[in-house]
Amino acid sequence: MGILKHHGKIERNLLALVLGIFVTVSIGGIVEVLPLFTIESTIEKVQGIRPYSPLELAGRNIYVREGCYLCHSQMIRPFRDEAERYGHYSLAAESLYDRPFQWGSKRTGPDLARVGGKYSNEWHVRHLVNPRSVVPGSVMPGYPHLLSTPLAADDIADHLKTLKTLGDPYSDEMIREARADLAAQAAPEAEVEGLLKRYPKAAVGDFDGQPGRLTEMDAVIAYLQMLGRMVDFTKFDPAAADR
Amino acid sequence: MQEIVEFLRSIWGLWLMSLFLGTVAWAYWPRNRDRFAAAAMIPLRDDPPRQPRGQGAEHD
Amino acid sequence: MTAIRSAEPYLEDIVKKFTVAAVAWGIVGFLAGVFIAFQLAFPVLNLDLPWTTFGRLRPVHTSAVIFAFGGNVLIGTSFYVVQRTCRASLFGGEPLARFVFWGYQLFIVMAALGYVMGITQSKEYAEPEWFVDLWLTVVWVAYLAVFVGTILKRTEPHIYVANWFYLAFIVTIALLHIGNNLALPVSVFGAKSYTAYSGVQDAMTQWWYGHNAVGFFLTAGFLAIMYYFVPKRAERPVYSYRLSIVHFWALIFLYIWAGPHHLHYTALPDWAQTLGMVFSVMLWMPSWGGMINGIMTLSGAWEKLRTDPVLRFLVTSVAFYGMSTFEGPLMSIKAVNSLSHYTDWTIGHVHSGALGWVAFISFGALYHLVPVLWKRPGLYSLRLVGTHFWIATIGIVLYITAMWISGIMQGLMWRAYDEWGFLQYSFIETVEAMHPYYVLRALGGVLFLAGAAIMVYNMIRTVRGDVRDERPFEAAPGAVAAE
Repeated sequence: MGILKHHGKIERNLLALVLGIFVTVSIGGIVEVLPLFTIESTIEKVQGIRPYSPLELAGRNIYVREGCYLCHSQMIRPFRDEAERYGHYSLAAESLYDRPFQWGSKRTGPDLARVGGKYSNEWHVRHLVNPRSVVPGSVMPGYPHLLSTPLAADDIADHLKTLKTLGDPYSDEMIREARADLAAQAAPEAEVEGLLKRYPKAAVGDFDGQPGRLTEMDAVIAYLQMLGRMVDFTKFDPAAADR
Repeated sequence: MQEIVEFLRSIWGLWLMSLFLGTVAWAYWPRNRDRFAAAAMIPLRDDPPRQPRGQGAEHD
Repeated sequence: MTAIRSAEPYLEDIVKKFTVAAVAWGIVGFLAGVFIAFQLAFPVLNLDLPWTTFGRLRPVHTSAVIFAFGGNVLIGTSFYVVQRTCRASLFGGEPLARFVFWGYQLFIVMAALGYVMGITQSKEYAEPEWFVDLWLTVVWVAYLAVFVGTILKRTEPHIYVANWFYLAFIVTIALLHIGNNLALPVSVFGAKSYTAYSGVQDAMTQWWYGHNAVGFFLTAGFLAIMYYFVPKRAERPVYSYRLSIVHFWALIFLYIWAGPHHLHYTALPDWAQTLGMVFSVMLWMPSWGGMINGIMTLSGAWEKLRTDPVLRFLVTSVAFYGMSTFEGPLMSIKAVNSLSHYTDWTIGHVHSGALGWVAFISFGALYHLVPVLWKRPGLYSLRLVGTHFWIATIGIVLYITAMWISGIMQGLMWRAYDEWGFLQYSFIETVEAMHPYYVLRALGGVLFLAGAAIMVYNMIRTVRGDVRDERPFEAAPGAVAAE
């Protein structure tokens, strides 16, 4: 065996030791990680998955900023109790545009993969400002400042451009309209026809209960209200999706 | 790239076994016994001869 | 007491710096851990301020203990060990080593300030944003250069096995760090970036990184410490050098595959989950091979455990290593994982490894290093080391027991059905049931922190050259004659 003959060398020859380590640790990654990028069946083919609207994206970035993933998963496992508690098990396709993914590893709080539409906007505002005012036993921190902090999103078009460079299907029109879409989604009286055409099923309205003010609260709730709502599971066929 | 991945996917079990057996054979090859016994002493040889002993922390 | 020197003297001033930094960051990290543990028991401690919430402070805790405490211990001891086992002074001399030291501290400060201000990638254990990642890459390359350069100029023909483990740690962490952190910043003048991978690919890459941060940062690096400091302190060579060679290659080969066990029953394809589980279970073997090698080094010298509490730290750490590397493969079995995942059991498992293995072996190495580096006849007090040992051990036991109970209980409550076939507990009921265990866990953390405070006191007095007037640990009759 060739490896055997050179072992004495590996031990004395530093370069060989470094290379030995490099090759040994690389092979696992090559066999286990790389195929996920090339094998077609990794991500199911389902209808309804779209990139985030500008306001949802801004809200998601706040979710990321606050480290919500440390206590909330976004990954429902295929068990009966999880299906009853949270809904249909999560599909890989549903986090297709998640950079970074937010599946999480700990449920100090409940899973949020399908929290969209479960609670009203008013509930979310009260809960985020003071969780214990609506859920007495909660150990979640309060985020009252979300309600008072104006949403800083002047550069939202740049965010969309960055994501487009990474491969997410934002069209030129989406990038051009990004700032207008962002404002329109949180303004109930605004014209949202174009927005809803670009981002079907986006939740629209005055999320934070402060008409005329665009706050971080608006963005976070817009994001939470769309979680898990893109795929219509009444029409979902697992067998067909895996093809 | 695809071909390399495919190739490695098909032989990783063989690779694992040959690496493991090769390492074991090398480590336990009779001719290497003394060399490794000497190597094991390396950490103990970096100090001067022992001073008279006191509490444990003094030994350097 | 000067060591046998190579032509140039060993650089030990830099090791002193890392030692001080490790101890200081250790206290910061333990304190942050205790605080966030109390936040989970008493949420009012989140203070309703943006920068003091659990979500922002938890990465401060994990980064402070892993990268600041653990990292400084690893780099510091590696500089110490590589010089002595290669009989050569550090490559690049004082300036390059100093760059690695200050560069690394800057990395830690930038990362921690970022978390508090909300600058994070929100990828577990890889939270720092792109510019901090780039800076760490520069520092890491310098570190690799110092380490490899020192080995190249060695006067000892053989490369001692501890250096293999250090090298695997340095090389693999570089690979993982770059592979996992590929991201595109929105603007070169802003902190925000988006990861190059998304969704399922990002998940797999993240846990390929995350698990091997455990495998190569918290395991391989600290095994290097074991392979130098346990023989050193026990004054006898490692139990089997040949076993250490097999241990090394088997460990680094198997570890790299185990990542997907963090993603059982998720949207990750089944074949990857199965591979991860199989390799995780196999990993049990080299882990225990290493544990046996470490503990059996004391065969014929068990007596020293009674008289040298520093050695007790080192050996107990290896026993904890054995325990958590048994628990880990168990939890990677899908049936067990379906219960344990997302619960506190995982947190307990991590801490039996982090407190019992990583921190204990670090304490042992640091207690050994301080008198050597500051040229003192011995520690200020060995009795206080013994006190530290017992307080910390009780703290760990309290911590992991509380997390076992709360984790398993929560897992069972989530899946419990009542007699009518409905879910028996609402989620918030399971949260409320955790409260007593969260309090207990925090108290365990307080004990562990108190032990570390004793260590700091002991070390300060040692550096000042004080020797405590105390009853020495007696060797058993006959043991002295046998030496």
